[in-house]
Amino acid sequence: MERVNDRDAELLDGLPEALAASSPHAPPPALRARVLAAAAARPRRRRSTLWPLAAAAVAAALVALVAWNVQLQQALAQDRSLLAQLRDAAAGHEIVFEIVDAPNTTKLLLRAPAAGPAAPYAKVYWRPDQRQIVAMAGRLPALAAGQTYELWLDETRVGVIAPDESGFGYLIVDTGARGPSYRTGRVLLQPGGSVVVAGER
Amino acid sequence: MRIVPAVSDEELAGRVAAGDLAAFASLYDQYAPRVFAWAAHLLGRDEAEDATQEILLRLWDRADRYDARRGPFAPWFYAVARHELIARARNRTREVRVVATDEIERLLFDRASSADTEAAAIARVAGDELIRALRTLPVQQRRVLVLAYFGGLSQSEIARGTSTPLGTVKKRTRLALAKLREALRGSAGAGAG
Repeated sequence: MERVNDRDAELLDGLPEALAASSPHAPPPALRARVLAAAAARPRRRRSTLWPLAAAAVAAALVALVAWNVQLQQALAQDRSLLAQLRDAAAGHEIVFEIVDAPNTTKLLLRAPAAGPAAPYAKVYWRPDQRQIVAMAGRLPALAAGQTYELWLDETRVGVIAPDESGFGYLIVDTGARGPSYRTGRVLLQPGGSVVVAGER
Repeated sequence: MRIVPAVSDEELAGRVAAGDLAAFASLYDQYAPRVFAWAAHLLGRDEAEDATQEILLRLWDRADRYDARRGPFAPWFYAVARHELIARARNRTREVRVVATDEIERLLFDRASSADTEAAAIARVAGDELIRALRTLPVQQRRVLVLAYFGGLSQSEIARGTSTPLGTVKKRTRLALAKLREALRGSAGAGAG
């Protein structure tokens, strides 16, 4: 021990009492009155009873933060995976990367009605200075003979997404005018028109 | 005759935490003379009043931090007092602290060895077992403990203040603590038997 610590000091805690018994120094009576008066006049510093609640709230917030972070990481991984698939599949189409990677791109995310780790999803990209839109979808269930996946933006059917064996598919559509913009998007399974994924800005 | 059980320090501390001024006065009566004597020897009588007031008001302010489930009140309070006194003593030179602490040691042990009435009074206090145990230690071993406890001197400061090699101070400290623990265990065992 470089300096006496509290645990070692406890061994010697009988000494102040022995010292008081043998020392000529005793506190003056006026000191007692002064200390008691000062204590009485002092506002009490009470530990708030809200501390346990605050601690529980902080713990809950931490758990939520961790859960959110996991979800975010999963979403980012999903995004990276989808983009990697798109880059492989659309290697010959420069316009895809000009739209997907541009800082002024607008992205519309389409989700399945029932969310889950294996649920299909899709994303649609456009930018104000290009005529094309790029759409890509992942985890699309395999189609039966005669079925198609149709992409609808607002109330317009813009094209068909043909998924590969992994469920990934993409679509490039020239809208004919710069700066297309949409509020809603859906991928419908045809015939029948059931919604596979949908989203809104 | 009705026997009224004494209220423990731990219970008094709990009442102080709830704002009971009478409980605070009881703890003051018990502990202020000890803190004051310590402060007067280490810091001088003038500063002792201020230091004692500061320490006791700290008890008033922080009694809610004491948790009786974690141990008795006295060690908790003495830790508060010791930290305050030692912080103030750091303004003094090492030599002044060594001289003040040596004076405390003389008071505690030289008088206790004589057969006068003061020694008898000392023998009645609760620290009697501790004093007896410390008196079984070699003087130099006992001195390093007293210098560290009352003066807040580190082992390096004790080495310089007493012109003793640091290794010797460390060895004396280690041996003194071990012997003291052993002696106190022995006296506790004898008391129980």
